[in-house]
Amino acid sequence: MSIDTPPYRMANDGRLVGDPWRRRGGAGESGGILEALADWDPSEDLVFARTVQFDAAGVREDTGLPTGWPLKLGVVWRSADARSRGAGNVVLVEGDRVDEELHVSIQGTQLSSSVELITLVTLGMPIDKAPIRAWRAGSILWQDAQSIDLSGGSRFPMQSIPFSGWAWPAGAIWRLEWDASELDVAVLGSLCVYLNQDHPLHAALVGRANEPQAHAIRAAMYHDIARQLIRGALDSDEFQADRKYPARSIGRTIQGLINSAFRGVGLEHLRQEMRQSPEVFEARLQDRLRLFEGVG
Amino acid sequence: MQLYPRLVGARARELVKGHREGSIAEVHAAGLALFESFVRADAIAGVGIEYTETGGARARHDTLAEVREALLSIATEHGYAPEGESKQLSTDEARVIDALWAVCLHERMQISRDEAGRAGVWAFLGCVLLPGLVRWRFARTGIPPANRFTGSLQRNTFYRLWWRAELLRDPEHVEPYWLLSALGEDEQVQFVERPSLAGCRALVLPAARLFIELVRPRDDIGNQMKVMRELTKRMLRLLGIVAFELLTPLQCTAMARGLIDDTLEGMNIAETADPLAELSRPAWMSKLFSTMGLTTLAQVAELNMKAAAQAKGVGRLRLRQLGPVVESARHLLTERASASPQPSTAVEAVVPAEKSGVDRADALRFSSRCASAPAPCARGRRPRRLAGCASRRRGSAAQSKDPAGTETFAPATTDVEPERVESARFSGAEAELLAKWAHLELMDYAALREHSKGAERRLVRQVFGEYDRFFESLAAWRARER
Repeated sequence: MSIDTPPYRMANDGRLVGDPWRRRGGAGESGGILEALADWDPSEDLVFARTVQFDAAGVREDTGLPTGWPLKLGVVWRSADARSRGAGNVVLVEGDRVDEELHVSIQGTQLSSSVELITLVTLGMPIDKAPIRAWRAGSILWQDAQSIDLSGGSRFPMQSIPFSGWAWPAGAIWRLEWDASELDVAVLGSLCVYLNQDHPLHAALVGRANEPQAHAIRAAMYHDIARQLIRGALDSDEFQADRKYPARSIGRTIQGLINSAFRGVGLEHLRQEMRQSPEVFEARLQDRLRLFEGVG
Repeated sequence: MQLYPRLVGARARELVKGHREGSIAEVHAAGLALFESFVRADAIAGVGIEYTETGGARARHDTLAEVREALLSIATEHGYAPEGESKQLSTDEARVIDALWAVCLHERMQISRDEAGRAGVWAFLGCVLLPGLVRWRFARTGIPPANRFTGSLQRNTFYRLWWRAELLRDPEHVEPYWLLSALGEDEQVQFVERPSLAGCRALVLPAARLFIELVRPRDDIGNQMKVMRELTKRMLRLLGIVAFELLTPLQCTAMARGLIDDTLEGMNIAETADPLAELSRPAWMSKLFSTMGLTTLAQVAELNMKAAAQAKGVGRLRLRQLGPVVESARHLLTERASASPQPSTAVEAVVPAEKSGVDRADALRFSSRCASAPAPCARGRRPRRLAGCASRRRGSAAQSKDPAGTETFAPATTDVEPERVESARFSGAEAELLAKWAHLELMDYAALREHSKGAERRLVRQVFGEYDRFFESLAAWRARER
């Protein structure tokens, strides 16, 4: 969304209630809130559905529309990484209350690491302009969104390879691959953590072993990845704290990292500290990123 | 869907060092050696190659070779010489090459958006499959930056072309990739490289089509790129508050048209060089039909004929084609006035309560003419000429703007019979249908196909798809009415 606050009245939250989104005809079919599909493959199309109860009269009242003015109830999907959007079914509502099943079918080739399902109520046809009242057809009067992770749940894309075969330092255990000058691009596809499968500690990184040693190695790797991302972004003049990077992009991911580690601290302050007192900054990173927390 | 070999970024950067330093012929030879090595072993010694694990089948080596040959063939036709002296490309030639390569990549690669979002795929194309082409394409500006070869997701030579073809492909058009050659380089960038805008094809495609149709031919607009930048800013502002995906294609086209008009107005550029073209605006016509009665229709018909007499070429055709809509609307109202003289609330639907009393009285008065004098309005008869309306165009005394900026129509001096009038008004739904019909008539495919050229012709073909859907709606509505 490029505008967060529309220049007109929106409907109250409770005007539409319904079941959570569910997947039709797939392994992810369940009654709970659908947050991730671990087994999804881009060659597989997806169908989602939900049933909603819609108080159209209430929406008209909240938004200053005349009684019976046509509204549209529908669903829009978006996959930010794939730069794709589309619509599911749309219902023209002229009555006061509606119970409806919303459904959407999405081609797998149009999706990437996530999909957002947005339930919408919009103005069904244009109306004369009036103060703080929506007037364009399609103006959004109510919405809610559910994001579904399709990336398989990995925190960062990882791949095991033999470093020696690629002429990389054979003694290294991991290597982060990314480009700090491209912050708008999706994490999936442009950032990858390579793990050296020749390294004796490789098994500790990829396995689910709970020994303190394996735990410590994984903690060190996550710390190092976060550290490289934060330092890379702070070194780049293109990275800005208030810029709106696309969902699941590298820029947005780093903003999240910095916000959670250094809440309330300005970006320029951090840049200055990193350049002028790198040893203090490194120590602060260890502290804020909680290196080795829970280990041992 | 196919999965392409992905070149690891660090290795791509190492290869690029050599590619940037060599001549075009040397880089071509280096690329060929790398590719042959890859074909022999499905790997390149010392170079990291990987594949996405799921989502399709690995592209066969001969598929890669076909993509390579197809792009090379286009290049060779335009002066690329793998073993000799290549011709340097001008800016225009580079644009042509880009458009041809974009189509070729998009048609041949057969990859999903997920795969096309992976940097390594494009690094493989730029560093292994076709580095000579990258070197040649950007030779005009000296040595190409490294990111034209590598997996840079914004600058890689082939990545940006594939995505342009993917996002600007116009499936309704007889030549689906026409926008790649019709839009300039910077104009394509405006649409494609803004992440939030790029995915909204429901708005981007009509805006691009209309930009080509309305702005491109305008000699009086010197800096068309500035218009494009202002237009995309307005599009971005609307994206946050309008769900374009829930609108019909016609509504999206009307919205895009409104944005272009607002952009031009905001830049103090006359809306259009051809005022007659205004009559084809669906939003304008919808307003027209929903606020007028028969008398105003007669005014429009009169205005139409007058304008058509002055217009030339396609403009004349457009105006003449509005005639059947006006006549049919007239017939509809006449039938209704005769058949159902009962008062109804139809007027309420078309004259909003918050509008001034004068407007509503005018609406009643207009309609009264229809109800009280159906005979002169019968189908096929020439509309009566009304005082003061003969040659007015948009913006003249035939219409004015209320304080909210909404167009209204000036009152006619006639007698009133309100009871009979109300049933002779168009409802909001009827008005919308008539507006659609009028728009479609103006764009009538069969007639315009013979007389239009270029962008106009493409637009006509695009709109034609709406024709059948409209008549289905009209038939359903008429069945309900009966």
